[in-house]
Parts: sequence; structure tokens; C-alpha cells
Amino acid sequence: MNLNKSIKEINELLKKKVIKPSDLVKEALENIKKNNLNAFITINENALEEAYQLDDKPVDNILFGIPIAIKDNIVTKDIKTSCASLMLDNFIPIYDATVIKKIKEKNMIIIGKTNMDEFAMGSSGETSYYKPTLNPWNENKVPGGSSSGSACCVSSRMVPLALGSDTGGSIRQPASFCGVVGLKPTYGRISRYGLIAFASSLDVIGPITRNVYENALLLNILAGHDDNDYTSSFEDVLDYTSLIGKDVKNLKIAVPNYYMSEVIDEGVRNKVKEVLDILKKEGLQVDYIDIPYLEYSIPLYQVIALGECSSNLARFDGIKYGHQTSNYTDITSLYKRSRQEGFGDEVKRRIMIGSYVLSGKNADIYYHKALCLRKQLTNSFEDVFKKYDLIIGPTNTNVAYDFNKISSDVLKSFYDDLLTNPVNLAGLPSLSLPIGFNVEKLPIGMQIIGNYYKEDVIYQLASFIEDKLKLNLDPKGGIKC
Amino acid sequence: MLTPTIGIEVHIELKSKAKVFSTGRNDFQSLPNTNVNILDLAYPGVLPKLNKEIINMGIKTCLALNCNISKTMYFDRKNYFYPDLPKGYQITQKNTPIGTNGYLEIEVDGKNKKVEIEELHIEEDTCKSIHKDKKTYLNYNRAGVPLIEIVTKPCIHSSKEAKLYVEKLRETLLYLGISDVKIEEGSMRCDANVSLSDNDTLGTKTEIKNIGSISHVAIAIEKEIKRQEEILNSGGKIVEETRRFDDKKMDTVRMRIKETGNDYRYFPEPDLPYVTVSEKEILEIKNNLPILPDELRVKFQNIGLNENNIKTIIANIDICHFFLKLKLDNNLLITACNLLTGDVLAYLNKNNLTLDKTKIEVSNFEKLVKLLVNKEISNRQAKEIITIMLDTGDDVKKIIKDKGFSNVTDDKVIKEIINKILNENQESVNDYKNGKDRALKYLMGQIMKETKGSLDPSLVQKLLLESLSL
Amino acid sequence: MKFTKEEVEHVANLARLELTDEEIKKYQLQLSDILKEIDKILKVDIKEDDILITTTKNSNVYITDNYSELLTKEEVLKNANNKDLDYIIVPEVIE
Repeated sequence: MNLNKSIKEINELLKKKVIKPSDLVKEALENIKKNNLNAFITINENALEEAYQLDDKPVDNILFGIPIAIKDNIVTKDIKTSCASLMLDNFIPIYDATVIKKIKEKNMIIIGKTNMDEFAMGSSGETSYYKPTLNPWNENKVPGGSSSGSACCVSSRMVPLALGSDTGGSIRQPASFCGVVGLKPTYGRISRYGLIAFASSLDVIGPITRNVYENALLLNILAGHDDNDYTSSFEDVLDYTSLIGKDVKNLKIAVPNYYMSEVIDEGVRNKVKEVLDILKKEGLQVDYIDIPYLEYSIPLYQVIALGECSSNLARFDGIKYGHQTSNYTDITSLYKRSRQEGFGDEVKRRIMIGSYVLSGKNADIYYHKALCLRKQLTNSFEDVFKKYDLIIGPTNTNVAYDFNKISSDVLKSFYDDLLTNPVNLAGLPSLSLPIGFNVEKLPIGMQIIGNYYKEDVIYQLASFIEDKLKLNLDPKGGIKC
Repeated sequence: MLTPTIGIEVHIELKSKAKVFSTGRNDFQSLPNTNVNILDLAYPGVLPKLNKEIINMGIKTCLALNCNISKTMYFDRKNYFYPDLPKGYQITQKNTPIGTNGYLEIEVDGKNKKVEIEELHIEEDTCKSIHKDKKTYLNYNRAGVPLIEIVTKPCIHSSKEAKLYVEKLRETLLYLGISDVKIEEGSMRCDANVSLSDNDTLGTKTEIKNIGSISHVAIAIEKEIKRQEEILNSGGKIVEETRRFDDKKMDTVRMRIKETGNDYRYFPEPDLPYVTVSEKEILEIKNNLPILPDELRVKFQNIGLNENNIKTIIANIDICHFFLKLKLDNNLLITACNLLTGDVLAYLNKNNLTLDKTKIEVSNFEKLVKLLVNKEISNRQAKEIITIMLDTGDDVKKIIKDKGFSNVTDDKVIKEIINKILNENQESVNDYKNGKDRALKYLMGQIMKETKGSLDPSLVQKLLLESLSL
Repeated sequence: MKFTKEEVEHVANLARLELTDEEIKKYQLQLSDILKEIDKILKVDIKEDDILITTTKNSNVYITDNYSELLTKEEVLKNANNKDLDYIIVPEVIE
């Protein structure tokens, strides 16, 4: 049982040749097989072979030989990448995403591709073509989404590390529901090249891990400009672990009143308040503030995200790759039936709304307005960071909920993003940290939002809180790491 | 009276090495589907890039067409489904076209007219589709090839103006060096919007696509004006539609009725950051702009070239570029131009070549011109030498030696030859002396025949007359 | 606003989705629900001249004019459903 140890410990054992990468991969594969949480869509059949190749190589970095799970909307050369959609059920990419190249350069082992909401559209994991992932804390509850499988497999200790993607909360929400640490980095901090686009101006890839330090370790190797992604930042890459353990007393914290309003479950609010009390006691300045336009984030997100998605998903036409209907007579029926069969309900709904808000005069009425409103909302956040270092609030309005709730309410998946999507609209970094459990022993997550490229400061505070709380986050009650 | 109003949209394929938003190769002659980068195929997860050279070419074109240049630009997505459009959208410039409010001056019946240009923008080309056996075959080589679209205001009022505009535009872009502008090969594509009206309000327009050559521009517009005239004069209404030029019928035919507002769902491209252009950059490009036809015309007039030659030389850019490299005095340049637009052009046309594909060299050609002007060789010899120079690139002196061209200019030698001929043709000498002018021509012919045409005829005639008058 | 049958058909056509009559009915209601939410941004009073397309601070990112990373023809055709040795094939597209 080596994978339950911390990355640091595993690294020491690898260096001392007590264990080999192949031991870790065998253990991870065993863990996946044992579980019936449906966290994975595809297992990398070559994982063990790749690990054997590493067994005799020198351990050259701290992530050497560590198995990692990859959300199935990040393309992996020669490994099926489905976006949890029938549309790409037969799709074998011919290139690696930039993050995959970086992971391979560090000699990490891709263990498999994780389940998710179809094309990352959803907040419960239920829109997957491959059936939902279950929550390791309670199999009757959703794990959150869209990075459902990535949060689940880390939470259930199948693997220590995973990659997710976050467009409106898709890393932070499942991280919060599953009791793991999930970071949505600054927009552009990690290259999107190879991330199958949902909404180009909002999408980011981010690390999902068991603890804060390991999250920072993973960000360290993923961050940086990429010539293949023109929106990726030229800003210097930091050592994101460097502030961990440093004194937090001088950090100034803002708590948006909106984030602590009646809409938020009382149990969740109380847990956040407990954390705020710890911080105040430690001597940190904690102020409640208002952020103008925050209350418009859901419709604003809908216009921007769905507008962009309607265009991004136009390439799935059954011609160059992906599902093609067998039942067509001409080009129009080829298009319409391939897409009808290939896409699920949530995706279709979102593409149609996206087409609508860009159609004819609506481009002005809705889309232009949204671009202007987005500017104002972003300004609001920037104003806060003139005075404060971090913004804190709950990640979600509530804890993990029962299955089948979204099918009766088409707005549910959007409302789940209430507290997370403003961060995407402004392009800021934000981390979800487990801060405790509700009465049903379901994890509660708290968000720490930082200024642009200040992921290091987020980790600094998150690690401090993590240390204070000392929660046992293994659903099976194993050792804490 | 019904007045036609015409607007012209021209698409130009740019001559870059790479594509505009990817590193795919831009070369229309390659084998199918071999110039394709993963971006051109719109693979899931890929993101567009931007080729700086295309922005520069855009700025060049703006300068040549007197457009205002956008200092801050972004791109837009034009969304529609078509098998030749791999991403399901085309990256283009809707909101911030690189150029606006320009003009191109044409000369119509001796008067200058400014054809106003509404806007100029950068966009990407689609796949090439080949239709056969009820199937369409997609070649992605053309997908992502850079295009510049140039849109005039509805300010053209005859097919003649339209043709002159397209010709002038083609010539200007050719000299800018940004495109092959071959309408027949598709590197220049021309659509015309035509409407008729008897008042200040524009009438319902139709769009004519698929015009396959410059001469067809005039014909297509002429036919469309006539068609609309007939409809309107008989009390009918024009239907807003897209028509294409059928080069077998030599007429426009209906392609499709315009759908009620094409719904392209434009929105700003979030994958490409802003592009800014500084005054300094523009100035630098301006200072390196190649010499354009209007300027060339003035330059050639100052040399003293005749209008016909000016037209011919500008119409043949390879010859023009060669001509511009010649370092000769004006009178020699006139001779050089005569040779280039005469013998050289004839050779090129006959062999279906351009001058840069032959072996002729500037300095060698200069020598030839000097020899000819100094009468050291005859026109006929010059013609023969040029052909050899074009074929082999040999030095002019070597050719003269190989050919045994005597390059005789010594009067004494020539007189000896004349005397020999006169002795052999006493009868003709007598005829001449009896007033028969034809005899002179005959004698000239005999001398030229004897010398294989190597002598300067005017010199021969002068010396012959001297001998006869003795 | 409420989506009419025709409007659902229109957006489904824009999105190239074939819908059954039942689905059209379902989406009429669902899309109307979402649109009701979206309409909230129409009420917000802001100046409408400053847009934000993306939060990237980058500008003027370019490649130089050189081609590279060309796919082999086999790679181009690899994931296509309908192809021959040179081309990806679709039903005839007639203008």
C-alpha cells in the first residue's frame, strides 16, 4: 500500500529503490479494478509497460514514476479521448496535449482517462455517455462535475494525482463534493493546447490532489507559456510550494456578502465561518465586502460559455473524426443525424442556447451585452484585489446531492456554479479546499480566490488552514497524508 | 433612366510559405492532403496561431489601396456548417477589419475615377472540394490558406468601370508581391453585386459569383444589367439572389435565392489575442513598399517609352522587373524596351515562359543593347542573339563569334562587297541608271543575301548609292 | 420569452441537430426556462462600450512565415469515417 503515502515519502522510497514505478502502477491498476465507482472511461493498457521502462531509470524529480489520472477531455496520443461522449467514442488522438507532454517529460505514468460530464457540460457527472461516477463518500450521491472521475479517483485513493478542467467550477465543485483539493489556475497559467474546448475564454486545466502541497507540486510542472496556446501567459512560473508554511498573519481576506447569503446551506456557511474564526484568531484581517455584478454571473456565464460552446462543438460533424450516422442520404442528414446521435441531451440544449444568443440580432442584444458585463464584473474583482490578498467563500451552495436531480431541472447544473463561475469569468485562480463534513459525513469545500498568477499565495493560506483542521479525508478512513 | 450600381468583392489568396492561422504549408500545387497541419484539420483541442507575415501583407495592401489601418484588431468567428469548413467556423475580421475607407484610382475614358474601398480584411480559405460520382472529395491543403477580402462601396456604375477596377486591382496586388492574383487558378476570386435604380435609393441587388476571368467580369455584369433592365422595364421585380456566371452560356444563372438573412453568428475569436500595429511598423513597411504601376507609368513616360510599350511592359511583370534592373541611358532603355516587348515577349509567349524562368542575364542583355545601338550588329542579328541568350544564357560576344556574325562596319570592306555585286549584276545597274527604282531594291537584296543579313541596311544603302552615282 | 416550435426548429437547424416532435416540445419548455435566466442580464444597466473577450493579457503573439509539423496523409485520414487513399469523402455537396 504505497500509494497511500505522501508523494514525498513515495519519492524517498523510489530513490532508495525500496519500490519501483511498476509497483505503483500495479497498485493503482489494482485500486481501479477493486472500485466500482465508475471513475475511469479508459485505462492506459501500456501503463505497466511504461512503468517497467522506468524501473531502472534514475529518479530525477519528485513526481517520477507517480501514476496520474487524466480527465477524458485532454487529448492523449494513441489513447482514446472521448469527452464522455458517443461523438468521440471511437476517437484516437494523433497528438498529445501540452500538459500530457509535460507529464511524460517528468516520467509520470498516465494510468487512464477519467469519467466526466459529456464535453464537460454538467456539474454532477451524470451527463456522461458512460454512466455516472459515484461519490466515494456515499455512493448514492453525485461526485460533482464535470471532473467527476478525476475527483473521485483521487478521493478514493486509487491514484494520488489527477488532472481536471474547469470552465465554470468543474474542478472545484467535484473537489468539494469528494473532499479533495482542486485548483482552477489563473486563465492562461496552464496551456489549453489539447484540452477539447468547451468555452475557450473560460476553460482551464488544473490539478486535483489529496492535499495542498501535492497540488502545488503538480502545478509546478504544468504551468508556463506554450507556443501552441496564444492565450497562455508569459508571466514567470513560480515555485508554487515556496510560500507553503510561511506566516499568513499579514494576509488580508475579503469575504463577499453574496457568498454567505441565505442561498447557501447553513451547514456549509457555518463551516466557512469556523475557518474564518481561525483566521481572525491568527490575526488576519477578514472583511465582508460587496462585489458588484456578482449576482449576474449565472446568466452572464450562460451567454458567454454557451455561445462559445456552440461554435467550439461545430467541428464535430462526423466527417474528419468522431461518430458518423449510418442513416444519411445527403450532407444535411449526415450532419444532423450524426450530431443528433452523437451528442447527449445536456450538450444539445447548451449548443442550441448558444446558437440562439449569437443568432441574428441576439448577437448584439445578448452577446455584446455579456462581453460588456464581463468587463464590469472583472473590474469589480480587480478592485477587491487592490485592497485584499485573497477572497474566501464556500465552493458550493451545498454538499453532494442525490442522483437524478438535474434531469428534472435544467437550471440546476448552472446554479451549481453560482459561486464558482464568477472566478472563470474574471480569469482568476481559485482553489477548493475540504474544510469539514456535514451531518451526513459529506465533505464541505471552501474556495480561496487569489489575484492573477498568485497561486502561491492561495497555497500559502490553504496549507495553513489544512494544517489547522487536520481532517482525515480518506473515505475509507485510511491514514492521512 | 435606370442606372446600374455595382459593388465588387475580391478575395485574394496570399503567397506566403505557411498558412494564416497554422503552420500548414501554403502551396496549391502539392499532392492532395499533404500540406495539412493538425490545426487545418480542426482536431479537437487544437488552437489557432497567427502568421505575422499575413498581417504585414495586409498592411502593405492597405497602403497600396489608401486604406486607414486599424491600430488594434481582433478576429471574429463566422459560424456555418459546410464540409469544406473543418472547424464549423471561419476565422475572419468582422468588427475590426485591418483596412477601411480606401480607394483605387482608375482611368475611365480619359478621366480619373476613385473606386472607393469600404474595407479590407484578413481571413482563412476553405478546403477544396472535388465533385464526382455523386460524392464530394475534400482536399484540406487549401484549408487555412490566407485570404484578403477587398470590398468596394457600391460606387461602380458600368461593366467597363468594374473591369478596369479589377484589372487595376490585380496589377497593383501583383506588383505588391503578395499574391499570384491568377483569377483562372483561383488565387483571385471576384464577386459582383449588381442593382439598378432610377433614383437615389439603391435597387434590389443580386450577387454574381464564380466569375472565372477578368474579361468575364465585364460580360457577367453587362448580362446581369441587361437581365435586370428587362425585368424592371416590363414591370417586374428583382429577386435578391445569388447567381453565378456560366462560361458556356456566357450568362449569369441562378444559384440560390438569398435566405432571409444568413445567420453567421459572428462573435469575437477568444483563442487569439489582440493584434496591435504601431505607426513605426507601418512606416517601415511603407518605406519598403515595392514600386507600384502608377508610379511606374510616370517613370516610364519620363524615360520616353511610348504608351503601347508602357502598357505592355507593365502587363508583363517579369519583363518589367528585368527592365527595371537595366542600368542604361534613356535612349538605350527605349531600344531595350523595344527588344523586350518585341522579340523577347514573342519568344516567351511562344514557349509559354516567363522571363525569370529563362537564362538571360541583365548585364549580357545590356551589352547586346549597346552593340545594337552602336550598329555593331543588325536588328536581325540581335533577334537571333536574343533567342540564344534566352535559351543558353551565353555571353553575347561568344554568340557573335560562334555564329560568325562579321559585325562589319568598315566602309572599305562593305564597298568591296558592293563592287563585287555590281560587277555581277551589270544589267540591274543599267536599269537603275535608266530610272528603274526597283533595280536598287534588287541590288540591296543581293548584297544582304551575300552577307547573310549581317550588315546595317541603312549603311549599305548609303554606300550603294554612293557607288552607283560614281 | 417563450420558445415557439419554429424557434426551436430554427436553433436546432443552426446547430445542425435533428429533433423529433417530442424533443421539440421538450426543448420548447427547457430552452424557455434557460432563456428566462439569461434575460436577467438585459436588465443590468452598464455602459456598453468596453468589451472583454478574454482575460489573457497577451497581445501580438505570432509565428514567423514558415511551415512545419505537417501531417502525413495517413494521419489526415486516420479518424475519418469515409475516405479513399487520398481524400476524406462526403455525400455530394451541390451549390
